[in-house]
Amino acid sequence: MSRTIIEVKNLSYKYPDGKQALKNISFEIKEEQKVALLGANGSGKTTLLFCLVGLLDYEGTIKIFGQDVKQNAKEIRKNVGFVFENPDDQLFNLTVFDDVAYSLRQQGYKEDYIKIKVREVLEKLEILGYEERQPYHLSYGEKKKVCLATALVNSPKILILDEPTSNLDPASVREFKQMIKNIKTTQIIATHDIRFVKEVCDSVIILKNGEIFSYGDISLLENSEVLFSTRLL
Amino acid sequence: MKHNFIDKYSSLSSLVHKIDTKIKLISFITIAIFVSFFGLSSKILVLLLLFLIFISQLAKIPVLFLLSRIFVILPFVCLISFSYFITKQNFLDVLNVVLKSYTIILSLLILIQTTKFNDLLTTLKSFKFPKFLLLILSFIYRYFFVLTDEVEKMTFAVKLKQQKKLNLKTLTKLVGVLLLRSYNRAEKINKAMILRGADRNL
Amino acid sequence: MHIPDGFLEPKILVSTSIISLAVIFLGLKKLKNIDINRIPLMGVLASFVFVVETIAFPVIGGTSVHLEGVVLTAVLLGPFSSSLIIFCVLFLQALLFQHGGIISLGTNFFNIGIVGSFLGYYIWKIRQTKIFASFATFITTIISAVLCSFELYFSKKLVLSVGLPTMLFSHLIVGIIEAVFVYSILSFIEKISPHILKFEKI
Repeated sequence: MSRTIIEVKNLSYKYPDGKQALKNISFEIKEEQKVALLGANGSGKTTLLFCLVGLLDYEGTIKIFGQDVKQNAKEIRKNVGFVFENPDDQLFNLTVFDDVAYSLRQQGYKEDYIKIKVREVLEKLEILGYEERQPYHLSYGEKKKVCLATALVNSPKILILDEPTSNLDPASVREFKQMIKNIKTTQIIATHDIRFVKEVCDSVIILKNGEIFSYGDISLLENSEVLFSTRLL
Repeated sequence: MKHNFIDKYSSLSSLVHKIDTKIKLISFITIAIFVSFFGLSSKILVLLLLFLIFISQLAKIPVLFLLSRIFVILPFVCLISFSYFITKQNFLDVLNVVLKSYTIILSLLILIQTTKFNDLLTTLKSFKFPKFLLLILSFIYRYFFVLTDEVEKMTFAVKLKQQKKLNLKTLTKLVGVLLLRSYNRAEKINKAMILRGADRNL
Repeated sequence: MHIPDGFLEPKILVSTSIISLAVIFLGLKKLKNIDINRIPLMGVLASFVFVVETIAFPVIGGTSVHLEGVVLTAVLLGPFSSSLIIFCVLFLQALLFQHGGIISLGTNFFNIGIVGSFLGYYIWKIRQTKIFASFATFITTIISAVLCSFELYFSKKLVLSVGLPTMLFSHLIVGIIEAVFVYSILSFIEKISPHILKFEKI
């Protein structure tokens, strides 16, 4: 019986300009679940993800590893890997090595240890040798891999991916799919890509206009009415 | 889009490229200070220049590129030449200034074109250059290409609309949009930094 | 104007550099414990200023002008933040483009960075309107040019009867263009995204 690792109760969030982004959202995610967060553009997916990691001032309760996110954000973040949609927002250092090493350096680890960890994760993602490369000069697919590396270097218990396959060519999507499948951690993947979801995830949360429209097992996606009404088809 | 005009030749390989960046930096600063603060005669400067040209060729930096950099000082040379002409002063002084200036520029070029930018920043850090400034410098370099690409896309879009050149209205929109995008980007990077444990301690 | 190396006498270099160093030191101190969100903002804006200054804006007769962003940066982020950003921009312009010297960086920062950031900021602060920002831009451009002439004069390279009129005249046109540009950028921001103008100014 796997334990609950993320608990969201009555989550609501209003943008600074007053617009209600999320309304009364509640759900639970268990250890090692691979959850797809689906919804049309503007349905609140990214906002929800930001709330989960305590980046936004939300209403309601979110508990990760049994700890309240608002009180323990810093500790929780050490165990959560977050991959942004746009690599240029995530890779702000001059070299791949610096970007992947960043979170370890912030935590004060020694350089020798950091070197080992960085090499490890780059090797796992098949980009060993990229250490001195500059993010700007990488292909989009390579950048996405580096982003993933920055998230995985901490050996996080939860991996959050925001639109991981957007703008990737089909071959890269396939590669990415394989990599994600091989990562054993709990995952939350916000995406539009139904095919990707069907192959990688075991459960879905579908958002519509900031509220949960549907939530449960992956078989929910067989219902095309659901998909149509949430603009996923 | 490749923008390799900044440190065009820093990825080449030569004896000079292999010299420790600390040594190259100290050499440059020494030459620059010496030339700026001590009244070296034009003869000495010419010798120094020849030496630097020799080093630059060891570093495989194209001569034409090096010579072209003299254009940066041209406006000032013209200005002071005119002043010297009017006041009937010795033009050899102007020559001396040009030699001083170009010597420093040449030694700088040798440093820059044989050193990766990242290595330069790391070396500055080891010389206790303020970390906050190094951070800003790395951001400038990191996002230079990204922003330049955005500018190119926007000017291309403007050209498609058949506007012949950059007038004030288009320039305002271009720069304005770039500015707002920069604010948005900064917000996202801020989130990325926080999520990866960024602290106030730099 | 960005003065290259080799043109200024030691006394000018040292005096201006001491003041510049003091301002930078003070700025680093003031910004030591700022909010994390300010860090990527300063970094990305520095990159923005650097990129904008590479855009050539064609004026009459085939010549082109490069826009400065000093007063704009000061109005957006405050004088000390602007100083540090502009220092880094000037440093990279000198390093990568040889636009201005490295030893004369202190002098150029004094003329452009300190004058623009502080004088410009405090002129704008009088009423905090677009008009005052434009006026600040114009005044600081002129003053920078005048300082430049005096520095070259005291370095015995330029007589004021040649230097002042040339610098003043050329910068009159540049100053007006820049002033108009700052006005239109601020209008654009006020219309589209006014909240960025409320960012804390340090």
